[in-house]
Amino acid sequence: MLTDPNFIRRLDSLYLLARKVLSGSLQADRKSMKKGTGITFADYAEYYMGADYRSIDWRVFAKFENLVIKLFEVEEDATIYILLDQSQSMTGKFDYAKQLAAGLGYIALNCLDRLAVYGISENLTPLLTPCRGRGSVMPFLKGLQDAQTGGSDSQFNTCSRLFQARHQRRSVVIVISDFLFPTGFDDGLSYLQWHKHDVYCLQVQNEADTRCELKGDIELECVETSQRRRVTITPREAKLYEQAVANWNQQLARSCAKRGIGLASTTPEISFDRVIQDILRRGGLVA
Amino acid sequence: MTFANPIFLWSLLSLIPLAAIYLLKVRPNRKPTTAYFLWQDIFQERRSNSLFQKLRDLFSLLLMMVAFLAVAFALAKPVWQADDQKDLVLVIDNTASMNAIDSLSTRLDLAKKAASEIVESLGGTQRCSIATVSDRVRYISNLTDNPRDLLEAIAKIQPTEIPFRDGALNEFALSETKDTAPSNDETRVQTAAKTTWRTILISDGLVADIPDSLELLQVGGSAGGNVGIVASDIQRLPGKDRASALIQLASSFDAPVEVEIELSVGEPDNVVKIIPTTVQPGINKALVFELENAPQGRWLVKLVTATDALKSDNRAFLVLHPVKPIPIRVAAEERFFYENSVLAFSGAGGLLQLVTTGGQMLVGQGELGIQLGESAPDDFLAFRPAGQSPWWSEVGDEIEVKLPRATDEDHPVIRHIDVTSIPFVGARRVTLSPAAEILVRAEDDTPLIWRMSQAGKSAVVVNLDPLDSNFYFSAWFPVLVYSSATHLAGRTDELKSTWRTGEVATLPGKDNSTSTLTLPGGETTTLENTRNTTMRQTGHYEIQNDAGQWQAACSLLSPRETLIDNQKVQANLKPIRRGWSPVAWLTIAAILFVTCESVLFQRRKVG
Repeated sequence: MLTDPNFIRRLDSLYLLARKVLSGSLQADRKSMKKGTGITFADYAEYYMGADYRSIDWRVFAKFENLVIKLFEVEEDATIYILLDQSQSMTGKFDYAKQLAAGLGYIALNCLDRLAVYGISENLTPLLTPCRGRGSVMPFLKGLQDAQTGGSDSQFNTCSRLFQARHQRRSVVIVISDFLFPTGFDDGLSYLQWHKHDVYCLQVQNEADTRCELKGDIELECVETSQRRRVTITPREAKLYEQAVANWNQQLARSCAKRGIGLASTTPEISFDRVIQDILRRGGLVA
Repeated sequence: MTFANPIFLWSLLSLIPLAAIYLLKVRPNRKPTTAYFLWQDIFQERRSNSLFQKLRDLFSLLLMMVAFLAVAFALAKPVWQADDQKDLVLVIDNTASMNAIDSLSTRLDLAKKAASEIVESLGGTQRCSIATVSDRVRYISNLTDNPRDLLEAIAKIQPTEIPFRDGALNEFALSETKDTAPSNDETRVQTAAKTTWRTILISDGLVADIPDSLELLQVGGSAGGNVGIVASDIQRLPGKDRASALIQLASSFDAPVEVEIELSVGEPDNVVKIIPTTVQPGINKALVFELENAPQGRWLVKLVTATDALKSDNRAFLVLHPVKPIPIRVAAEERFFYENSVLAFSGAGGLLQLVTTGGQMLVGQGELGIQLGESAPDDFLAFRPAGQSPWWSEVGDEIEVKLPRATDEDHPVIRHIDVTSIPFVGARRVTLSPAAEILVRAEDDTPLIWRMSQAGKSAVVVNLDPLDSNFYFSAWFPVLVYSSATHLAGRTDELKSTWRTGEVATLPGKDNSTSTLTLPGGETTTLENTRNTTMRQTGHYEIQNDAGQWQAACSLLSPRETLIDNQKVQANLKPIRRGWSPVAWLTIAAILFVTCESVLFQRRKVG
């Protein structure tokens, strides 16, 4: 139960840890990624054609005869979007995914960030409309608690486009999924990153995903599309499957590393708060 | 093909539920997967097996159905229609020639293998009996359809060193004669019974007088040639330590063979003579030679040859017996005749020896003046019975004997004598105890010659007056003395230098004596109340009995066994099944099919 007092106390602990680790707000952690106009000095940069003359530091020019411009921190509303995979493939690990989403969302709301949660399967389903402040915690948790797995085929790429169509402002996008999308994840992640979102992937897979305990004659059925196929699984096929899953996850890790996307992989056997603590200790939701 | 238990064919109906079970069973369990697209990639590579995958369940069902069919037919006990289903008697030849090495195994092994194949082909549907033949037919198993009992009986058959005895298979010929000549209802019944069994002799064919009713299954034939000793003897010559030896060889080789004959005395390595010789094909002329300083005791003739198929005929065991005369004391008024009759047989190698005191035997007239006791001689030969004696109870009036009659003409005491030509003058009526063995009677049944034993003593009594009848001058007088003496001493039969295997040896000693026989292998056996024993093992024997300590020897010495070439033997075996029965083949097929199905099942269950 996400609204259980005990669970909320665990979320509070996470929030306190987040404040201590991040020395302020999550927004401060994100500022290093973006430079622009503002009042708080951030850094110098070489002058380039088209730069604002007003930002040239004439003192530096007088001293070194080099044109440099001053950079200031951006000051904008930070919005965190959690894209929670609610396809049928998440059955068995969906509660764990919801706990992770609850932990991250709770910290965001307590840091006064805007938070929105969407479910991804064959379509993008809003689970929590954008909201802000501590008062939104309970609606957020209840919304998560009521979320169910469903849909016939998860389409991450389609959902990414739908998400971008709804929210064109740059934001932090946290994708919680097993990333076992039949159509792949590359296009979706590229699309989100192309539109300047800070994307963070939280991969949740259980042993049923990574190991093959099936043997002999069986009829395989896709949990999402209900496609079936009669096969004979020998140790060779089981090994091939495990290798294929490992390759798939390796491909996800390479894709994230190439794009500077943060990635954390976990299993339901590890408690959600420990996962979030690790994420925070590593410097937040950055690559 | 017919079925012994056709009722079991109803078990074929089990195929229907089997098929039903299979059709239900082959539906695989449904398993959900979250990464179906990954599985699709994996199985796309293995599409080449898809046809087999689709038909595999059908294969499995077919295999199980075939296995069920095989089991059902096996339970129905199918038998080949060509077989007449007669009871079988397998007679396995285990004579000495069957020990010949033929195709790296002995002929006996080949025969046992052939017999096993026949038994296996019966499959428990036909009765069979196992017998061996060498000097006679011995049944190893009863008539049974239990293959295991029959195979165990075959396995028990051991090789022997006994040659085939002519007429050993006559019992089959006799039954044939009786059965094929029905003259009344009883014999017709026997004929009908006879047609229900079939006798097969499994042999190398080196046997004689095979009855027509026996079918010969010939084994062997590829053995190499063989050289062996077929006759051997050693006898003492007059003079001290001189002996004469005889050795006869035979060869089944097509060409002459160079061999060496080694003669050793005492221990086998104490070789005293080596004779190189050439053995011609067939039976060779005997080699006869004299030996100087030939000690008495054990002798061994050993044939040394390069290649040989049969080993047991390469040695002949001989004994040069010591001279052991029977000491005889005479107690009669007319000593001259008695003493000369003994002296006539006391020359070189003679069996009688005249002594003046003691002696094993006492010869005389009348009562002989001696009562039975430990100090008395063992045997007596008494003429003209008179007075009181343990050997007769009452002597009456003299009788006139016109036509004496022998009750047992072959008795050792009288077999060399024409009793009708003996004038039984002075014969008297006598009364004998029932234990007396009357050898010659008068026409009124008065005993004329009798033999009697009591208290460990024996006697031959001749009811005539040798003086009145002039029997002293008869040629039969010394013969009667000699025959009686050798018979009473148990020395009637000549002690051979060697007996052939399978031959019945008559040992020295009295008929009712107990002999201890030490066999060549060292085992001892006791012969109670008999002097006859069949010699089965080649080698030297030790004999201990009341007649003293003796040695004997036994050797193969059989031309038929030595000349092992059986190429010209005509086998007359009618077609017979050999090898595994249809039941066995069906059982194996069922196991094979079930195994194949298990493999498929295993793949279905655990991949």
